[in-house]
Amino acid sequence: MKRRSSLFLFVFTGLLWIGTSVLFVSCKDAKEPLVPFSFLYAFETPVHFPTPVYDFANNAISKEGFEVGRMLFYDPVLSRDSTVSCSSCHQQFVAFAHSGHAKSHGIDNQVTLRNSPGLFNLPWQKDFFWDGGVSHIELVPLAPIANPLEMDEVMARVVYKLNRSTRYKGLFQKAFGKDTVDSQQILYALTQFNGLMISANSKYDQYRTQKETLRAEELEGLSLFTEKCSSCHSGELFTDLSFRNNGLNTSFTNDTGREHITTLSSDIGKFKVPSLRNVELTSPYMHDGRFTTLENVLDHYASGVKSSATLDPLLDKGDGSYGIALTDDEKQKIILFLKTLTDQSFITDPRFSNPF
Amino acid sequence: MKNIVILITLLIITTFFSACKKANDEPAPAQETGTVHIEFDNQFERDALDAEQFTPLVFNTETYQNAAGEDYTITKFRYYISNVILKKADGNTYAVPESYYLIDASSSTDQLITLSNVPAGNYTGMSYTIGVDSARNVSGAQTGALAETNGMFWSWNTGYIFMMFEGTSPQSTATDHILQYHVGGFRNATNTNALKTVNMSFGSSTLRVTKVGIPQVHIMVEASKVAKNRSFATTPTLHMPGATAISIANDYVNMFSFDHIHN
Repeated sequence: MKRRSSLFLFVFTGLLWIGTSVLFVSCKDAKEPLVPFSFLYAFETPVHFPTPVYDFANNAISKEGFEVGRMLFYDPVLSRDSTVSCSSCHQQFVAFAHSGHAKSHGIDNQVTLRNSPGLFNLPWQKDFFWDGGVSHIELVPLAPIANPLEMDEVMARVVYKLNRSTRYKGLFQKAFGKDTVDSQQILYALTQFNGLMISANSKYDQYRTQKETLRAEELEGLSLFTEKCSSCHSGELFTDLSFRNNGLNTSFTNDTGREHITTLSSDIGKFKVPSLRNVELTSPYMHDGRFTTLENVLDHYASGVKSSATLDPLLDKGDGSYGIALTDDEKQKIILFLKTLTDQSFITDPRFSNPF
Repeated sequence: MKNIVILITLLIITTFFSACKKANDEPAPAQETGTVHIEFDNQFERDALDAEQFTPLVFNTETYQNAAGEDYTITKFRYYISNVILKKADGNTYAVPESYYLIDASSSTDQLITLSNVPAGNYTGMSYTIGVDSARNVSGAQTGALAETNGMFWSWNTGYIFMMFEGTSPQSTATDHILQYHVGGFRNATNTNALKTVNMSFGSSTLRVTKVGIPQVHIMVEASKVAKNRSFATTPTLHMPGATAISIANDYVNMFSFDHIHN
């Protein structure tokens, strides 16, 4: 009995030694950050976040699935003439918005109808796009692929093209274990990539989880923000996910917003309340990108709100005037706070970078 | 040590025994099942004078007329049949699981769907949905008949196109005189629910499902119902849910009629 345990000990020590050297070897060779695999390719709700709408229950994340999704995101093969990729209008350095473009350019140099928003924290969204037309994260890529102003491609042709590529076919096979690529696998892969793009590590998040403090002006900004902005830009997502008319126009014949989807006249001029995370980076602002700076945006809320039948009641002061009472000093402090929502680690995360 | 070995052995044996007992408790072998074919025989219209006769559905070349006297041709006619339920005389029903079928009359006017593993028995009627139930409209990426690559899904306004009817008419005010009716919509909240259920009795016929043979239910479909009450001059195209979609659905819900069964 005693001999057996010493033998066991010997074998155990040997295994430990081999294991440790393997670890060392892999550490030396790896270029990726030293973060456990499970963290890199698993979905986890940040401690201060609400329960997500989408939880990957039917779409188990794997490194292979994520990586093929990442390739698709950066590959113009999704467009009719291989000129436009998702990343054409969603750039990582500006939190996956389109830098400097009020409205993005699509295929054949056409101008699209709306501003392309930043992409992050998508599993917490119920509805997608400014008008909320798409109601499931997996179905989101179908819209830009089919839109004649964006990628103008038929999804069945995307499936055909990817099956024709030995590289993609092999990658999909590894990720999903099937002989042919189908549209579901394409949408699952893109969702694995887009769904893991979580931004929850800004200075504000550090403050929120008691790892860092905010400066006095930033704290003043936070308290002003809570008082004046957070009824719509609420919670840790900085949006209540609703659709509202924030008084940009008196009439909305060019773009009726939510009404385009619901056909309800009470929805005319309503657009999705966007998250304000990374808002410092995602200029220009509003569904049509009409404002270039955060100062422009706050000036609008202070003195530019226009009345119409569907104007949000929160912007009606009740005395015949509209908007939110804001002094110049308050605007500056709110902007200082908004800048604490910038997530540097998100926009530099190598997992989300261009793989080509 | 010895005691432990005995204990573990006993435990293993007990586990085996209880497992055996469980197996014995299970119900008798699964019920006998069979296969059923449902044929959708797509025609243009039933003859007004001879109910046995139909004007055939001919794509692209044949000119038809709606109630307003507008001429038209048909180039495409597709629709979803889903959630098939077979009914017995005693009121018992069998809901065919995962029953989603895309009928594309433009590829062949005769379309057959196959129902497998149907419990044996005599059925006296059936029901099905025209379109795709609301749950599946918002369940994310699908495969098979529901795959988003089938051209029956709105990418910009989540939802399936339940019925797609396309053609041309000299009276159409749209570009190139096209007709396009894409009907869908499943939301009650916005009053855009265009889902329709067809309840069908087999009359004096009985669908006999056994483990041998494949009985066939023959259903006639009259494509004329879709365009009959439309005005091509005022509404040549429709591409979204809403009141017009519902009104078209209220017409095409009547395009199906039970004809006969081959047992």
